[in-house]
Amino acid sequence: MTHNSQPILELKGVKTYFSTTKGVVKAVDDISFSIYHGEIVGLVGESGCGKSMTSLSIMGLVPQPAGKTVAGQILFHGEDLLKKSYEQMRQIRGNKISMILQDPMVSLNQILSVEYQIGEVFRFHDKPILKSLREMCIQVLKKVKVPSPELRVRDYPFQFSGGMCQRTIIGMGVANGPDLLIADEPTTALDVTIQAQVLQLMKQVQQETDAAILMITHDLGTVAQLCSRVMVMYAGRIVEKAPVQTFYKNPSHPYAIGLIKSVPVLGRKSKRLYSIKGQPPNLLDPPLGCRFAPRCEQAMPICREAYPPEITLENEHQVSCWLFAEKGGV
Amino acid sequence: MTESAAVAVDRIAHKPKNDRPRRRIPYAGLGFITVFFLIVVFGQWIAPYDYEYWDMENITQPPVWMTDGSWQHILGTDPLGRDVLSRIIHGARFSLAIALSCLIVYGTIGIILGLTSGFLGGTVDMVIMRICDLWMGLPPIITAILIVSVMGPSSKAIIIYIGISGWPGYTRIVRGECMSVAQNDFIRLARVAGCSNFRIIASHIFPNIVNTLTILVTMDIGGLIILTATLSFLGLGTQPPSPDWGLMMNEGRQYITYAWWLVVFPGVAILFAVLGFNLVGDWLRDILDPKQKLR
Repeated sequence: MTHNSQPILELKGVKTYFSTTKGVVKAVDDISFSIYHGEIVGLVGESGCGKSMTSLSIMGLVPQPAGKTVAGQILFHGEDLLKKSYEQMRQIRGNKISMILQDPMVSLNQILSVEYQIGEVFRFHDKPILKSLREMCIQVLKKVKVPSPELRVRDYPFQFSGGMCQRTIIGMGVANGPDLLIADEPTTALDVTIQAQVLQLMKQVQQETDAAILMITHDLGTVAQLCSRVMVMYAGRIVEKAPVQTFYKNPSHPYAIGLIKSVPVLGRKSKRLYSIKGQPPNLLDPPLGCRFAPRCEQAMPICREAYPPEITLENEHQVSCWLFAEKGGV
Repeated sequence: MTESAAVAVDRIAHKPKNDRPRRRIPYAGLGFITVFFLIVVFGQWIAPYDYEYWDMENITQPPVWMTDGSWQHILGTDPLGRDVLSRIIHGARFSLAIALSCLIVYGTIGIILGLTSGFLGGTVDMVIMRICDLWMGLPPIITAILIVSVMGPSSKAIIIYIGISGWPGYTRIVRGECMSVAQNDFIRLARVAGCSNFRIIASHIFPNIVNTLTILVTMDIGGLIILTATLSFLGLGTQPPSPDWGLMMNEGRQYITYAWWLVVFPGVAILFAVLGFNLVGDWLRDILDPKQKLR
């Protein structure tokens, strides 16, 4: 699979740092990737590895003033978002780039009606209001299959179930036909049964609107079900990028291998579930070389000295690991 | 119907009671406040006399139940022959008007600064908070005297003094609430929807802190009635012949040995008004504050 067209979103060496009293936390450190039109890309990694900060960096919503995107370029349709003014970003957010957050129950303001909150998406983007605003809100709810939207549109979020809230948020996210939708763990807070529904809805909505989706998750099952490409993040850096098929068949980075091994497989009675030894590094003071080296079973001396370059193994399969540099990659 | 279904129905019909004993409605407090507001609104029709009416034939008359008392002046008169009951009734309006004016002035300042501080954070927050600290360190009575000596004693002076000195408390509380509300994901999502800072504060954060403000305001009115009465008592505020309760106590002070009713009745009025607001404020805090419900 090759992409001839220009990517919708391209990150080049993005670094988002937080200055705290204890020092600088390198939450996102030198990240580069591209997302093309109409594809769903998964970004996986464990808690605190910088997945959410990557998404907030793209949106320009890094918590101020502690956090700041200090270097790199975030190119959206070829234009650098980091150079946009506040007002320009406000026009892009919710319009061209949209976002879905983790916990649906706190993603909606409990004391404002659903109608009011969906309406905000339209009101601030100079969208032509064809029918009444209420009519547009009902359309949004209809699209994401909230039952009897004509009645529910006047309800408050606490009268909705978790799944309904999340569907409403998805509806809000795609209401203006964005080019890119960032979904930050959209199913983590939901029941397993609802998870499947929501994922299906996302896939369907994606096909209808043709938006690209950046799917942030720590659930490899979700990735397998939904995404066409995967990126694995560890301690603020991307360690492996691959098409989904390749990734599951042939994971290359030792961390990615560990991740896949630690997923329980139905029917196999193993003695004990595999787990990667050790703890993720402190981002205040990450290891000098490869950040996974202290936990890596195949670590070599060079791993502790220098960060490995990104090595292309085959088409679209890139890995940052010294193991492959030796085998003559580079 | 199977047995288990019957049990289930039974359980729904008899919902488990809230473990926490619900606080009882403070009927006494509500009663005091109701009477207070009725007097404020209808005072000029209830009061038997105008507050400036001098009944020169019945000066310093004791209340009705004492010897020499008469039904003409139920709570007696002062040395100028003014009816104490009428003055207390008219005074309710004065007290509430002054207390509310102060509240509006410093409430507005406090809420605006608190929201700004809590929402923007960083340097702005630090500067506002340090000003708060500084402001709280000003010695209250001395500041009051300073302002009064510049402006001359009047109700306006009190309102200005309390208005510019009372806001730090509000700012701190509103800031804290604002910060905790701003942590929520819906604020982030509102930004994604393209809301401006002002709109997020006005339509997403402010409605979420109204509960807290309601409690604050109710609890504060009682305190303000006492504070304004104190300032008037000290001669810093409302000037004669206004029927301010604090001023009435001040005027009656010199006759206390033989005309105790001049001091006691305005005092009782202050007591019950403040008690009413405090009881209702406590109750509101218990039923509105979500943090208390968790216990």
